[in-house]
Amino acid sequence: MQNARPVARWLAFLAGCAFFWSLMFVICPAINRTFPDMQRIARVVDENNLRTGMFFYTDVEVTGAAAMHTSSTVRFMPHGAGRPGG
Amino acid sequence: MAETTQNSGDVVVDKGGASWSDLWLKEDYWAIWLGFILLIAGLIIFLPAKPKDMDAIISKSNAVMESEAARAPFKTVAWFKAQDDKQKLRASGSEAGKFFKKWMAHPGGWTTNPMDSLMMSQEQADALNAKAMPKFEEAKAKAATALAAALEAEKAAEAAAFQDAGLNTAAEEKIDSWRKARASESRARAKTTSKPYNHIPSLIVLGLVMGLFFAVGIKFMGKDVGGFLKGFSVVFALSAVSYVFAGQATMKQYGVEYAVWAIAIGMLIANTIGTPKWVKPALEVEYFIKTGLVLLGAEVLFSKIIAIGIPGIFVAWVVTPVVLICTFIFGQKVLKMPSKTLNMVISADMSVCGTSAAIATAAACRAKKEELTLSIGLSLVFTAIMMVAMPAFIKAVGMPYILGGAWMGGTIDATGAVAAAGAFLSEKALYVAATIKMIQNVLIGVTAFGVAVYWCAKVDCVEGQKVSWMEIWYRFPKFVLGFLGASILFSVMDGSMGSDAGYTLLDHGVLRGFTGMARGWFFCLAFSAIGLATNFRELAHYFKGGKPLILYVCGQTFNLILTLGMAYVMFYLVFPDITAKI
Repeated sequence: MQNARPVARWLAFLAGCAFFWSLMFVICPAINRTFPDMQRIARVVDENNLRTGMFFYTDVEVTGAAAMHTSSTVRFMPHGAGRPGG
Repeated sequence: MAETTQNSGDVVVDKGGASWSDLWLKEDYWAIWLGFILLIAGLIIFLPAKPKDMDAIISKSNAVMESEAARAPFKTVAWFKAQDDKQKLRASGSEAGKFFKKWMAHPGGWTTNPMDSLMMSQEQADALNAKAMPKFEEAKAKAATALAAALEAEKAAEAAAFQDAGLNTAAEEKIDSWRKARASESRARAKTTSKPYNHIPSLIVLGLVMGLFFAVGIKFMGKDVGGFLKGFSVVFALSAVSYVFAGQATMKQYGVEYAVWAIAIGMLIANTIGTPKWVKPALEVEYFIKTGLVLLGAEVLFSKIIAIGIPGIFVAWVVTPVVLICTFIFGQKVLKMPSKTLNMVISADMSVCGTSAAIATAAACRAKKEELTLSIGLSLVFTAIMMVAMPAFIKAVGMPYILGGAWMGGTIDATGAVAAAGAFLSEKALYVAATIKMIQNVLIGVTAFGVAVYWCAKVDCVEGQKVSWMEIWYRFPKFVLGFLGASILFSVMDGSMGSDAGYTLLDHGVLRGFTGMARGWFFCLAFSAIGLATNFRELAHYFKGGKPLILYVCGQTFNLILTLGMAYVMFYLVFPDITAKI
């Protein structure tokens, strides 16, 4: 491609941009419409304001609440009256 | 630093050496210095920024939770309210936190108009808030009704001295319903608080500051500072564009994050119109990535591994290394993968925690940028599939949601996708999945260190050659020491502060409020630089024979089986008490 004419190179670049655009506005929305589970995930992602590609726990807000909840459960585990076997 | 040279007999030998000048001439050390400058600055800024009455609120909340735990056999309304009070305490909400949020923020979300990610006027914000208000009012009323029902059911259970199993179960169910209604209310409220913003000036300032920040090291390393700064403007602009693309609503759902966009757009430029020559001095991939990794080290808090007790440790810290090692051996012995580094990066990416593990391992074993790119691409595709397929499968077969949450947390690569898949099932599944993933995230410190030592001692040497400790030291990627040092420092501080103060001042202060944002930008710069320097043809060469794909599929299949087995044994056979109370 580096040896191609400038016009060809710019056309290839624009074709790449068009592919990105179609990914966002044509291909992925079409997949969403085809598979109901994708629509459900889309709703969950929107409701929880998630970014599903974020890779580390500190990038995802909900992990703070999750860690607080699970560690509190382990730390202050209910053991009061009426506990089965208690 | 070790150098690999070829002597006259065409035998590759390692020539080690180190000098004091490495401290200011080598990028590994500069990554450490720059990383620690930011971490220390973060500590100086955020540790004094304690929320008002933090200690009193933590003591009171813990006392309430302790007494409620002793009073009832389930988590009461007061227990949850005390937990919520603690959860609100965040140093990132301080003035300093707001300052960094404003000046380091990356472009936000948008649906059809990309400019929405950069600018929002007062009128647009008001319109959004007004649109979201009816839903919030409705959610608020539902939450109030659910709270009243929960309190009434709890009172009924208490009247029977918590001895009536039926009343206890009814109270637990009502409290669960209230928690769900409260979560909906909270999400609806968040959509009524849109504020106007304009990220363009802050992005320009941030780009200048980051360019100068990295230029200090470039100067000491004897490189062309002017050339670096000129090229950096393009690398930073590409990073900002990558964040814009990643913020698009459908892309957020599919997990196509900034790393993927930075590589994709960079590669598109490099392989079509070509990366301009004057940009090349700024393509300092390793410098950016290593500095980001030192910052990431501070986020690897070892105290997190006990968040869900022993079951979590077994699922995340026993299964994961077993899968990592077995996948690597499988790649070498069965698939006979020609590149050990690619084998290791894919194994770590798939078994530990996706992109973050791939970055850390690739840097530790000095993998090629194409190998990292390929690994991240595989992870993206499988994460998108597993995020949808796993919760659907769990629902279809009627698997308990806590087991499903643990299974997804231990196997889906990206934390964001784990959260989405967990939320798809239930709040409890979300909590378990996200916590297991968080514990697994902590494993990247050990993985990076282990891989770095293994590579220095075993892989990077001639067969039969005995490597001395000094030689290992010469070859060892020094930035790993910064990564581990930051992890140990912050883990010790987190442990000595206690988990609640650590949550407020470190996790939701220094880390999420400052250095985490910087780390995100540094990785994005690195990926932009990778894209701008990558040739499509070279990348295709690494995929030859489809071996990377076979490795990923086989490793992930093994991971799925082992994680499910371990999660079942731990959460349902060995520690059913913890499972019942989550």
